[in-house]
Amino acid sequence: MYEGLLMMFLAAGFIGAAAIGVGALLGPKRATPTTLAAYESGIPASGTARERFPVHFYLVAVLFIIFDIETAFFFPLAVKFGAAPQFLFAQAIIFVGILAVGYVYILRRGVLRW
Amino acid sequence: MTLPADFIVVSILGPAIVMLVFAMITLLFAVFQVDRSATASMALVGVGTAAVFALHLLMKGQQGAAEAGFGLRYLGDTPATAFTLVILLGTALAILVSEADLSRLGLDHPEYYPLMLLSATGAIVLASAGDLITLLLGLEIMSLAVYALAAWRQGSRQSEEAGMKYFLLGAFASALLIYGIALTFGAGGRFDYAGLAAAFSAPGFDAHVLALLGAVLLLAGLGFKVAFAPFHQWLPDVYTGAPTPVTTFMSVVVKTAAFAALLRIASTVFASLGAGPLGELLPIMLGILIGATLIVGNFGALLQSGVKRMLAYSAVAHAGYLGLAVLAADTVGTNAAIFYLTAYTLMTAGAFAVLSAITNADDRGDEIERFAGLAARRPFLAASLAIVLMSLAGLPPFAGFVGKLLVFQAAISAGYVALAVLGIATSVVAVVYYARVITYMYFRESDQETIRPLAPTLRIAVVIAVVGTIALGILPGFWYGLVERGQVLLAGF
Amino acid sequence: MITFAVLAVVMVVGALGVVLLRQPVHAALSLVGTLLTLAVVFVTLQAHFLAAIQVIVYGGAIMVLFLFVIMLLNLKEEATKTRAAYRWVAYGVGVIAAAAIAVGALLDPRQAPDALAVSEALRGGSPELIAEVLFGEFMLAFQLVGVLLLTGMVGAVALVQRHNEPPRPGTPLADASRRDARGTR
Repeated sequence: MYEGLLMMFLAAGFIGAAAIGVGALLGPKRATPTTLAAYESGIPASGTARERFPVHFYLVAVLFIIFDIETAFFFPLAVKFGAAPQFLFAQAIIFVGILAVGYVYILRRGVLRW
Repeated sequence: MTLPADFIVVSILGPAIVMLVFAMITLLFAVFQVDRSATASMALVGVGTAAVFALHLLMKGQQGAAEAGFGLRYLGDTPATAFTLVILLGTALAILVSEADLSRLGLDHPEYYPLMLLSATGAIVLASAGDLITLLLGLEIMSLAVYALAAWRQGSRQSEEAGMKYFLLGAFASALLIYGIALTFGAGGRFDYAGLAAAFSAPGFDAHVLALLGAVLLLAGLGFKVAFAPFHQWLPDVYTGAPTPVTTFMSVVVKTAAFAALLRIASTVFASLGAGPLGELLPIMLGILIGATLIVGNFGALLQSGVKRMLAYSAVAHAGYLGLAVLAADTVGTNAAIFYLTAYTLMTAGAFAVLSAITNADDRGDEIERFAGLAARRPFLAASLAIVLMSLAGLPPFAGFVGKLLVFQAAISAGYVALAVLGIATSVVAVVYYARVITYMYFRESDQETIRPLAPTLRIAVVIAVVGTIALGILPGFWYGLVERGQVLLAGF
Repeated sequence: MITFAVLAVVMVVGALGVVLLRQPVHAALSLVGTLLTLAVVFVTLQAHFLAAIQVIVYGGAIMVLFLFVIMLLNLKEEATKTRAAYRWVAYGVGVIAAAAIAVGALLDPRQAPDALAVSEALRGGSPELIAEVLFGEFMLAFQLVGVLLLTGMVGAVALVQRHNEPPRPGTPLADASRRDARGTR
């Protein structure tokens, strides 16, 4: 029943393992400070990546999840929409309306302004 | 999409919808920079409008026309609406106390009132819930807003610790509650109390162990919110660390809503388990919790030197007295709890209102020495605090006395004489710590400290609390009779 | 049954890893394992839509938040090593409670329904069935979720944004909050 899924997982695992394995087997190994440094798009790395991040990033992530969950609710609604269009539409409008107030609030509060 | 014809009943949602709408309005006020006192007025208008809707529902209950909707998942009967009114009363008092002090205390961020109204919305849903999913959502809406409010004071370690501690332990309690809901659903196959009670008392029911485990976890999860010992340990730190206006709100509104939910579950789901082979265990556990709560709360309060912390422990103690009503798990117990919580809301909000008039801007300075000679300096504040404290101690002729009488009566008539005796004994201890504050106010020399003038809204809050405490104490029949004559859906299984 | 046993073992090991591993990032990855295994359990129960949501919301979005928190806090080595002395008591209580619940569930005398019957009733775990229940019987709960999300939004924004607004002059904590604001931004 899930053979296709299994094949996909195997293929993904194989490609991943092959990419690392082939590189390790065939690639030249020259350990100089330059080659060992983390690749930062050509810019020399400065300092450590383990710094405290501004909490603002987290806030944006939280807001993303909130609207992500909102979207998740609309999958079943969309699938079933044909059964009772007006009824489901009304429910969706109320639900979105509640969150739209939150959206206006976020915009006006300057959360998305950097 | 086939639903019964009378599935959607909008009228019972009235108070909750009004509160939600006003929360949104105040939220938009906040971001469009409307004046803060206008926001506070708007919040009060919202509470008043919701109270009108709730009163209408209460009157319907008087005429025996109480409604429930959404397949008994949301109830509009007398206990639900009476608890809603108590929640609205507590919210109004908290708004009045807040408005007096927000800018002085440095708490003046625009989301304050919207969060308070959202929390009250959740509390109303919790008090009216007739099914475990609605209960959970109401509880989370209420709690999330209060977590943020508890940490409201910026740059204060106490306040941030209060918010964090409340959030972590609250999340843990929610996890227990959700696990309890899952196990209860596993045993009964339903989420609504009516369906669960029917399933548990059906003749062929045999999943007793699972149902009991679910019930125990439900009790533990709600026990955190109402602060039964040993689940009370967050409470003293959170109540002390949170800004006083927020403490006012959570000590009355959160407690009322959590008890409303617990009473409803106790009188339906727990009661239906009582007939089973393991039915004896649940009341025994609840009894142990209540006994521990009475002792820990009262003796804890006895040991405190700060008045705010003393009031926090006294909140634990009062959870114990209310627990006696839960133990009775019948309509008499529910009515006693409604009366007790009404009185408790008035007197606790009154005590915290006076406290916020005396303490420093950073919520420090609640040592009992601060109250020395208050009667000479501020006779109005001293007299008000003395009245609400005597009421909290359960002395006649105040509301607290009638409340205690009713819960002891409910416990004795349900056969829990020993716990009622313990309650009476610990009440004597309670008199000691409340009287100590009164002694300081009236019989100690003043150190001539100046106290700032009383803000008008704070004065209104204190007057409402004191007048209510006296009126309920002298004429308890008005409110109790109204509750007693009401209609209860979903009880007596 | 064997599938379930294997998955259960993986899940319990993952959950233990969350509690016992010392590096927060390792604990978080262990949690990913648990959440994904739970998604597989949903698949074995024919709840395909739920499995997809589990992967998208929990395995994806929620885990990002966990990693964010770990990055935000950026605990140093020594901070992760302090542990309460009475942790063994806590472990003991946890194990006993878990065992009690497991025994309680196993003692349940009812027979699990036939897998084929479940599959038939769930119609392959399509979102259609969830929609019928969610927007029918539980329509109130659906709207309450909206309110809950709004509350979470306002609470989160309120706690963060207050650092960015200039403290009103004359408030007692104006200085403290300004210092605080510099510290976090």
